[in-house]
Amino acid sequence: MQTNEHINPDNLDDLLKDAFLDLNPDDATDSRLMDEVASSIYSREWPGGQAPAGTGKTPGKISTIKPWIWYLSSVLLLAILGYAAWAWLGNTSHETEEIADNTPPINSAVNQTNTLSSSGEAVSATTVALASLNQEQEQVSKVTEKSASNVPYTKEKNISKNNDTENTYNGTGYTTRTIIQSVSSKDDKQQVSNSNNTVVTASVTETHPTTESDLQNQAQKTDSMTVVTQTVSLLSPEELKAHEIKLSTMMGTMAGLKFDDYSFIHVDDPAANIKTEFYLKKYEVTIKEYKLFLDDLLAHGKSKEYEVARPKPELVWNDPKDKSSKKFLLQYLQKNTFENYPIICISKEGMEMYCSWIKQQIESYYKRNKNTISLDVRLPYLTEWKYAASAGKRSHKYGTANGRLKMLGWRTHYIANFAESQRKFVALDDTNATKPSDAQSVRTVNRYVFTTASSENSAVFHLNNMSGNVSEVVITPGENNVKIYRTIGGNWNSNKKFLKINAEDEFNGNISPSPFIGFRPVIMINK
Amino acid sequence: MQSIKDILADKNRGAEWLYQQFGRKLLGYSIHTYHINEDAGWDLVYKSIYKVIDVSHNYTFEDEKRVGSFIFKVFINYLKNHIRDERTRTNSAVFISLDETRKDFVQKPESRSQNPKMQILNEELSKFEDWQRMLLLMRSQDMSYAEIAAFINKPEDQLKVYYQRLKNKLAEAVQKRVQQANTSLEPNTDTNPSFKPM
Repeated sequence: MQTNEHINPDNLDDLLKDAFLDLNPDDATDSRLMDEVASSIYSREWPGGQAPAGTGKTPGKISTIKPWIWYLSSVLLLAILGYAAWAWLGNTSHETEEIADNTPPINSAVNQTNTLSSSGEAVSATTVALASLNQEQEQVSKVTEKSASNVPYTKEKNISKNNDTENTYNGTGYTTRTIIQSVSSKDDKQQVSNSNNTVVTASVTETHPTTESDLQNQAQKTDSMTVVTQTVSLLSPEELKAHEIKLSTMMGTMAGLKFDDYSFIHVDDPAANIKTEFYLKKYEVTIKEYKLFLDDLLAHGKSKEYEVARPKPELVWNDPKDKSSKKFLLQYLQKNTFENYPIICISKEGMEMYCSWIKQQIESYYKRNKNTISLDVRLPYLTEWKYAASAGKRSHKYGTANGRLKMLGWRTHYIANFAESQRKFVALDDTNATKPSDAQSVRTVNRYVFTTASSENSAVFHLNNMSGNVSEVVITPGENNVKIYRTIGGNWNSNKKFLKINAEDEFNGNISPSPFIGFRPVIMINK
Repeated sequence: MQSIKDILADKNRGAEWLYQQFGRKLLGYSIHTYHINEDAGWDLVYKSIYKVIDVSHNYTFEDEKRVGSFIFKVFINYLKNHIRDERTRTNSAVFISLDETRKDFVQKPESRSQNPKMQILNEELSKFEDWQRMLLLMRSQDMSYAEIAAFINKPEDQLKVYYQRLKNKLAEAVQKRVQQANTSLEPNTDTNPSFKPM
C-alpha cells in the first residue's frame, strides 16, 4: 500500500463514513447500530430529496414497468424503421411519384409543347425553355406560361436531381425538404425556339403565388439570366394536414376576438390624457406557437422567409466561452417537452414576421367568414409594456403579481425566473415536466434555466413572466417613424436590477438571436 | 387498519407506501451524507424499495420501525456498491499480476473491504470498546450527541470530549499502521544489485 495522504482527525470523517457502510447487518451489535441510525435518519428533515409533485419521481407501478418500457422501445423502433423506409422510398421513387401525382398537367404540357413545336412560331404567352444546367449532363424542360388573367401564374415542369437541394438546419428541428430551382438563360431559350426536339420528361410542381412578394421571389431577372424559384410546399402531405388542423385550432381560439391567450388592457388615464386599449399576449411566444408559424412558411414554400425567421442557435453555440450550450439548445428547440417554453434564438425580423403572420391569419379568418376586421399586430411599445407590467401602479417595481420578486411572507420563494432564483423557481415549475429527468435536466444541464412561458407569475392582467425568464423585445418610436428596438424585463440569467420595470436595456439595443431574448406580440383593434 | 404484511403484499401499494414513508428520507440522507448524484440517489431508493417488496414475503415485520431498519440496510448495501463502483470508475486503473489476484482470491475470499486503508481502519476500530466505536460511527452519520448519549448510555455533556479524543487516537493509530505498511513495501536497497555501492 503506497499512500502519501496523512491521516488526521479532520480527514478521518470520510473514512468513518465508509466504515459505516462496511458494517455487517448480520452482526447483532452492528445491526443495532444501524437500526438506531435509521431511526435518526427517518426523524430528520433533509434539505434535498423532496421530489416535487408531478415530476414522475414516485415509483411506477411494478406490473406496468416492463410492458411500458417494452412498449416505448417498440414504438421507437417502429418509428425509426418507418422513417428509414420512408426516406428510402422517398429517394428512390421521387420522380415517379411526382409524375404520377400530376399526370394531367404533364399531359397538357406535352400537348401544348407539341403544338408549339409543330407550329414553329415564336411564343408570346407561352415559352418553352430547355435549360441546360450542367453542360455535360441533364437537360431540363420547362414550360412557363402565363394564365389568361394578368396575374402571372407559373407552371413549371422540371426534372433534375441537380436542382433539388435539401437544406437541413441543424438545431432547429426543421428541414426544408426540396427547394427546386431551375435556371434558364436567355441563350438557352433561343436554342429552344430553334429546336423541334423538346424533351419533356419532367416532374411537375405547380406554383400558386398568392402575394406580390411570392411573385418577386419566383422571378428575379438579371442581365444575363432568369432565375425561377419554384414555391412548393416543403411539408409532406401528412405534415401539411396536421399543420392545417393546428392552425384552424389556433384560429378557432382567436376567432371572435376571444383571444384566450391575450390579456385585454384598457388604459384610461385622464391626467396623462391617455386613453387606449390593446391585447397583450399573456405569455411569451412559445416554441410550439412559433413552430406553427414556421410550418406555415414551409407549407407555402416560403423558404427565404423561413431562413430569416427560423431559430438560429448555431450563432450562439459557437461562443467559445460557452461550449456546452450546443447540447442544451438542440434539446431545447427540438424536443416536444419544451414546446411550451419561450422561443429563443430568433432575430427581430423573425419576430416582426410572426406578428405579421398573426395579423394575416386573423384577417383571413374573418374574410373566410365574410366579416372584416382591421387590426394591427406588432411588438409592444415600451409604454404599453410598462403599463401592463406594472398594472398601472407606480408602486410596482417588477412585473410580477405583487410588484416584488418574492411572495409576501417569511422565507417565501421567488416568483420570477432570474439568476438568483433559478433553482427555486424551476422547482416550482416542475409540474410541467413530462418525464422524470426534465426538471433535472433543465435545472442542471449547461446552466440554461428556463421556465414555461405560462408559469405562475401572473400580474394583475394575468400576464406571465413579464419580469424574468426571457428578456422581451419592445419598440420605441424614433424620428421619422424609425423603430428603435430594445429589451426589457430581464431574463433567467439577469441580475435582478434588470428585472425592474424601469430598468435600462440589458443588451443595449442589440437584438440578435440569443438564448436570453424572446417576445410577446400586442394586438390593437382599429375601430 | 391494514397490517404491514397486507400493505406489502400488494406490490404497487407497498411500493408507494415505502416511498412515502422512507424513500425521500433515504434520498436526502444519501445526498447529504455521501454527496451522491440526485439521479443516482433515486435509482438506489427505487432499487431498495423494489428489493424489499420482492423479498418481503420471507420476513415478518412487527412494526413500521422494523421495516424502516430493513429497507435502510438494503439501501446501505446498494449505496456501498454504488460508491465503490463510482470510485473504481473514476480512479485510474491499477494493474495487478494474475498470480497476485489468485493469491488474494484464495487467501481472503470473504474480505469485505477492498481498500487497504479501510481494512486498517476497521481493524483499529474493532480494538475500541463497543460504545466508543458506536460513538465514532454514529457521529459520522451526523447524529446528535443527545441521540448518541441515549443510545450508548453515556452523559451527553462528556460525549464531545470523548469523541475528539477517540478521533485523535484512531487517526494516530491508522496513520501509524499506514506508515508501517508503506515502509515494509519499500524496496530493500541492500538486496538490489543495481543500488550496491561500487
